[in-house]
Amino acid sequence: MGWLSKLFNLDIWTEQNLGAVPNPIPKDVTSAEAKADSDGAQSKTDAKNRLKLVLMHDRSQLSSEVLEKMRLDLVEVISRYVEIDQDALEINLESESNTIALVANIPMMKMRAAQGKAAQQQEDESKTEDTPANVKGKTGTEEDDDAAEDLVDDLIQAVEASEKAEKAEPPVKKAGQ
Amino acid sequence: MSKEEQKQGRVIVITSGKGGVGKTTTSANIGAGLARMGFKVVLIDTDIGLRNLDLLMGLENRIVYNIVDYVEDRCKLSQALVKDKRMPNLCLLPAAQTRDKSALNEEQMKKVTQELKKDFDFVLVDSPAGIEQGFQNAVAGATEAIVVCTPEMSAVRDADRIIGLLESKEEITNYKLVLNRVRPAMIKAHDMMDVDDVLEILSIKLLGIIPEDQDIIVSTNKGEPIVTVDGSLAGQAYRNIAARVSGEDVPFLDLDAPSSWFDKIKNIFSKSA
Repeated sequence: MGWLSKLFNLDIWTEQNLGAVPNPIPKDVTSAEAKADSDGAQSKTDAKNRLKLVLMHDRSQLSSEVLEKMRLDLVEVISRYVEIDQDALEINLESESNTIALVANIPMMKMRAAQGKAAQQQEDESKTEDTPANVKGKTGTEEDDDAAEDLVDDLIQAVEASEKAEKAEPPVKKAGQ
Repeated sequence: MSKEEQKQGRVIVITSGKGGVGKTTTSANIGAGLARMGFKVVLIDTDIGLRNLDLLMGLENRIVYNIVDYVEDRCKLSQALVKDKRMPNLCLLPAAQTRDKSALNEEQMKKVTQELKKDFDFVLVDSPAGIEQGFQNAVAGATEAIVVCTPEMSAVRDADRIIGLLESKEEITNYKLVLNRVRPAMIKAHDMMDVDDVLEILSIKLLGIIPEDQDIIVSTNKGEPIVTVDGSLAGQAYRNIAARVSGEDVPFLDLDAPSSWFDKIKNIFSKSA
């Protein structure tokens, strides 16, 4: 009996399914518009975003090897000043209007007292423990600004150096500002 | 050499990277469009081994010699040129069909274009797809480029690559985009990148927009470039492009122009609102 009813159900299911497709072939305008309205799916946005990403990589001609080398260099430079989560340091390509930028995300463990900061500061700094900071030098306290500026300068130098070495065409303009 | 005064024609390469986006159709139509305006035009098919420009122009039965014959000294340049059926000021220099891209090099192409631009106002070079020897040959003698692209991801990506290569060529001083196979209905439904999207992504100037048009297939079947056919939107688009190439300032076609009175009135109200 089981197999029979299954078969029966299946039959009904397919029949219903077939019956439920009154206008299967979209006719250009109207149905496409209806689709966009109903589920908000705009495939052109997908296309644009995917294209931008793939073109960024095409244009930069930065291989993953070079990116990894650069990452290790950055880790070295930044580690002189702050304790960072070395494995979590990430470098990515991002685009803004017509320029491509290298953006590094550097999760910090804690700031070092290397820049001749008072011990009292360290208290403040310990509060920033494990807060992710990016290259823009987002720091918790005003006193950290000098250290942050130095860090950013070093970063710019490091990035420029690797850029020269690779003769990569896109401008690495992000690090500062 | 001819005794008439020597011209200093413009050499323009039509290229795309990706195949099948309409390079040859665009070449034939811009060429015929410029000839229609009275310019002396020669079209060079550099797609050695896969020639098609002759078909689109309906000249396939008139070919005696081709560009490789000239380069290898089997004929004079004037013998290799095929005159158009309708317009005496339009010529085709056909590709060889039985050879491949290695039958031609960049120096030879430079020589050919140098010779031709003495006699013609426009030397249009139809490039093969790809970025290899065929493309390098096509670009060799040119100082301007027209990049043909459709609003599809793969075409845009390949166009970007071509633009990068064109930028690296010192001789190319000017390149612009022809966006082909545009479907206003799909753009309206946000299912196709619009002209601005593509221009933004490629950061390139626009030369013209061609709507997807079945009439193009019909005109290809007949071997008549659509630019010579009145009453088709794509033909109008190509006529506008030819005019722009010649230096005229022609406004871009509004592809989703309101079709009815009602739409027009609706538009006026929605704009003022």
